[in-house]
This record gives sequence, C-alpha cells and structure tokens, in this order.
Amino acid sequence: MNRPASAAPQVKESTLPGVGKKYVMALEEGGHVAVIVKPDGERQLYHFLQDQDRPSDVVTLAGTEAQQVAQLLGPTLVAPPDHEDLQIALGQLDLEWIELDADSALTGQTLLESDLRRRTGASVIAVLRGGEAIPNPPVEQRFEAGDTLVIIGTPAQCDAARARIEGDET
Amino acid sequence: MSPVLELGAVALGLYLAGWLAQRLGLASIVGYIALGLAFGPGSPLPIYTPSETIHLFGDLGLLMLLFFMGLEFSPARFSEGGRAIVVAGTIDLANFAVGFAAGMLLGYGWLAGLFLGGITYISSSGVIAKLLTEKRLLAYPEAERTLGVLVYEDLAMIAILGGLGLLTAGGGWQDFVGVAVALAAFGVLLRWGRRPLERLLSREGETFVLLAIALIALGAMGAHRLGFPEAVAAFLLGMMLAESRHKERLEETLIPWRDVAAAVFFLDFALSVDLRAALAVAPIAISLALVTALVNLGSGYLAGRLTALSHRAAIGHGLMLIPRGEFSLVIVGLATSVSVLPGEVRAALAGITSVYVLTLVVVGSFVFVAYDRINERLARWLLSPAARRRLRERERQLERLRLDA
Repeated sequence: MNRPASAAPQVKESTLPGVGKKYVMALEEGGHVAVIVKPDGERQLYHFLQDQDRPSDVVTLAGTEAQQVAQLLGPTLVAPPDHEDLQIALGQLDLEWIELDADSALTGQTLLESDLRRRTGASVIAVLRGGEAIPNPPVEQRFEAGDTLVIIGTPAQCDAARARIEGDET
Repeated sequence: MSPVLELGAVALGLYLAGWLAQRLGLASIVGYIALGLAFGPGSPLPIYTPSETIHLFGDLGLLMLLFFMGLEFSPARFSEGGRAIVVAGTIDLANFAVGFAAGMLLGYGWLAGLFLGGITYISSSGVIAKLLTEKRLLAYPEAERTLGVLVYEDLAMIAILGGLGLLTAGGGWQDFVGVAVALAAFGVLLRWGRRPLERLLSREGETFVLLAIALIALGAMGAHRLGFPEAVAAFLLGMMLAESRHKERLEETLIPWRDVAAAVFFLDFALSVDLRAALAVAPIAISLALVTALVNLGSGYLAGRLTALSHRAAIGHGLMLIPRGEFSLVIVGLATSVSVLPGEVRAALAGITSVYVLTLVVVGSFVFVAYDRINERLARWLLSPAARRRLRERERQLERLRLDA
C-alpha cells in the first residue's frame, strides 16, 4: 500500500467515560474534526471551524454507514477499534484481523514457535502493534499481548487460526 | 392478585409511563417516578400496593445499577483525565454541601444531612450520557470535562455509601470484624480471583446470564451478612470485572436486565412515597432543586475556568451537570431502610427526593434540548465586567462607523 509522502496528520485520542472514544484531528485549512466512536458501532462526526469550540455541523453514522463512508474515504490500514470481524471475501480468500490478549496461546511465542501455518493453513501476513505495521513478519518475530495479527487463508483455515489464537489451550 | 398478573400489569404500566415520558421529550425515569407517586398506597388513587415480587425486582435493580457503575469504572480512565478531573471533581463537591446544609436547616440532624448531601451531590450519569449523545454534544470540550467529573462523582459516591453504611450499621465490634472480613475477601478476590472468575464466566447463553446474576446477588448479600453495605459490594464486584474480557458480553446480555430491574426499582421507590407528604414538602424540594442548579452552575463555571475551558464552555459544563436521577434514588433508597433515622425524617427525605429528582430531570432535560441557545444567552449575560466593557466599546465603534457612512 502506498503511504502518502507527507507525514500523516496527528490524531489525538481520548476516552469519554461511559460513552466511548474521541479522536480529534486538526485540519490543514484550519479548524478540526472530531470523531466519536461508541461501543455499539455508532459514530458521530463533528466539524469545528477555525477558532470555534462548538461544531458547525454534526453527522451521526450507524455502524454500517460508517463502514461505507470509510470505504469512500479510502482503505483503512488498521482494523476498526470495535474489533468487528472485517472480512474481505475474494472468493475463497479471507483476510482477518485478530487481536491478541494476555491469555492468548500465541502471546509470547515467535511466529516459528506458533507453527500457525502448518497447524491451520493460515498465514500471518502482518502484525499491527501500537499503530505500527510489521508487514511480512520474519519467523523470529515474537508476538505480544495487544498485537493485532492480520492473517490470510480460506474461511476454514482462518476459523482454525482464530480458534487457536483466541483459545487458552496450548 | 396473582404474581404473574401483577408482573404483567407492572410491565405494562412501566411501558406506558416510559413511552409517555419519551413522547414529552423527557427521560423515561420521569414516567416511572410519576407512575409510582400517582398510584401508590399513599396517593389519593391508591390502586396498587406492591408485593414481595416487585420488591425483589427492585432490589435487584439497585444492585445491578451499582454493579454496572463499577463495571464502567476503571482507575486507568480516571488517571487519563489527570489533574483536570481532580480539580473539577473536587470543586463539584460543593453540591454535597447544598444538601447537607439543607438537612441541618430543616432540623433533620447530621445523619439525614449526610444522606441529603449525597442526594444533591450526585448527578445522573445515565441521563447525562444519554442526552449528550442524543443532542450530539459529545465533542464539545465541556462534555469531556463533564464525563470526567461524573467518574469522580462515582468514586466519591462509593466512599459516601460505604461511610453511611458503616455509620448506620449500629456499630459493635462484631460489625467491624465483619466489614474487615468482607474487605479482606474483596482484596483476595481482586488479587487472585480474576483468572478463576474469567474461566468461570467462559460460558454461553443463559448459563452465562444465570452465573452473572448469581455472582451479583450472592456477592452483595454475602457482604450484607457481614455488615458490609451491599450496594458498595455490588460496585466492587463490577469493578473487579472492568478489565475482564467478558466485559462487553456482560454489557450486551445484562444491560437490558439492568434497565428493566432499575425501572422497577424507581417505581418501587416512588410507590413507597406518600404523595400527600411529598406535596407538603414540594416547595422545599423545588427550592432545593433550584439552589442545586445555581450552585452547580457556579461550581461548574469555576471548575471549568480553572481547567482551561473558555467562558462559554465553562458555563456549559455547569449546565450539563444539572440532571439528578438514579443515584439520588439509590441513596434515598438506603436512607429509607436505615432504622436509626426517625420515621418522619425518612418519609420527608423520600418525599423531598422524589419531587427533587423529578424537577431536576425535567429542568436538566430542557437545558439539553435548547443547549446552544441557553448556553449562549447565559454566556452573554454572565460576561465578566472587562469583557462586557470591551463588547460595549465595539458596539459603539460600529455605531460610529454606521453614522460616518
């Protein structure tokens, strides 16, 4: 994927307790946009004009509408924060985002130790860690809690991989 | 009346009351309280006296409200807000003084004063979060501050509930041993219980819901046996699961239960209020509500200005904190079960609180509906003298320009 040449604009993230997350991005032309992400998938998009602390316009997007708008704005690199399964089905091909937590069987293992490819048939094509992407991770790549693995395979292979990654059994 | 018939009638009544309130643009809690006041044993139309079944649901509703309050609370979120939340939250404690002073002035005694302080202190997270979302105010700078202060209030309320629970326990040494045992048990659970708890909850479907309800009910009642306030126990249980991977599933499956049981809790409380007594204290309750709104506006403004909000946003912060609701009822629910308080004081507290909450939910909702207009008008009206002078000067200049042209 081509990264834009100029540095990506900074996004400030904060928590709205009991409601969701707030992301604020300053705009080059002045003013800023704020995106509110609620756990139920609803997004609210606020536009603030320069030197204003009240928005000039607000758009409320339901879960599916938000995904559609995201498609229109361009492909996203990172899975949406609500961890809905994002499946790209190209015939028999599945691309899935799976987050590791502290309990995951793979946490602490290297790609080689995990033996994921041989056991499930699915391949890890990238590791997303704290906003950074590690494409084509080397076999000695060690997985940490909080990593999101991007895996590719048939739906059955992806299911097997997901069961193995999310399960506690070793 | 057969219990099933009763349950059906209560469900229908709550549905209609909630629907009507929403049609009027108000939070459904207004409908539930009004329903209970209108048809309870103490009203002129005493058509309904709740049975044990309804009390049971109501009690469960109270526990679940607190369980979820704990589940949504996490120390990490608290520290994220940092200094601003601590400053704003501490100034917000002024609203506790309002109720306490009122209790003392009315001659109810210091214990009832403490309860009344809790009632006027705690804003309604439920009503505020819902209105902020619906009226699309979430990205306003004052909304973030407001939601942060609500977290502070939750923590303060748990301390208040715990303190009041201990003060009213009667207090022999056995009680203190019991409380110490309960606290130690929570400490042990917090340190070593999380993983087994995670495993225990790894179930699907109704077994998951049953287990969660058993956990809340038995945990709270076990603590109660030891003389530890069950409301605080339910909160602590929730907090223990705040970082759990089952958190989202708990929310998905149990929030409908909580909302239904909480509706019954509000109704059950309002049914226990003697309407004539409530009307007799209504002038007190409404004055108290207005004083609260004013003090909230003042404390909110001060807190906002001290934490880098603009003049307008700081006024907004005060406005947003006005609604009172479910947690004021939780506190008065505890007050009415305390035998140390004289019966007439308990009845007065129940009457005052029901009218008080009704007033501030209605006033608070109205503030949110016309938020921008009210905020702007107040901001202009409350301009600092210097700013007002500047504004007048600018208007004079404009006038001169117009005359020149």
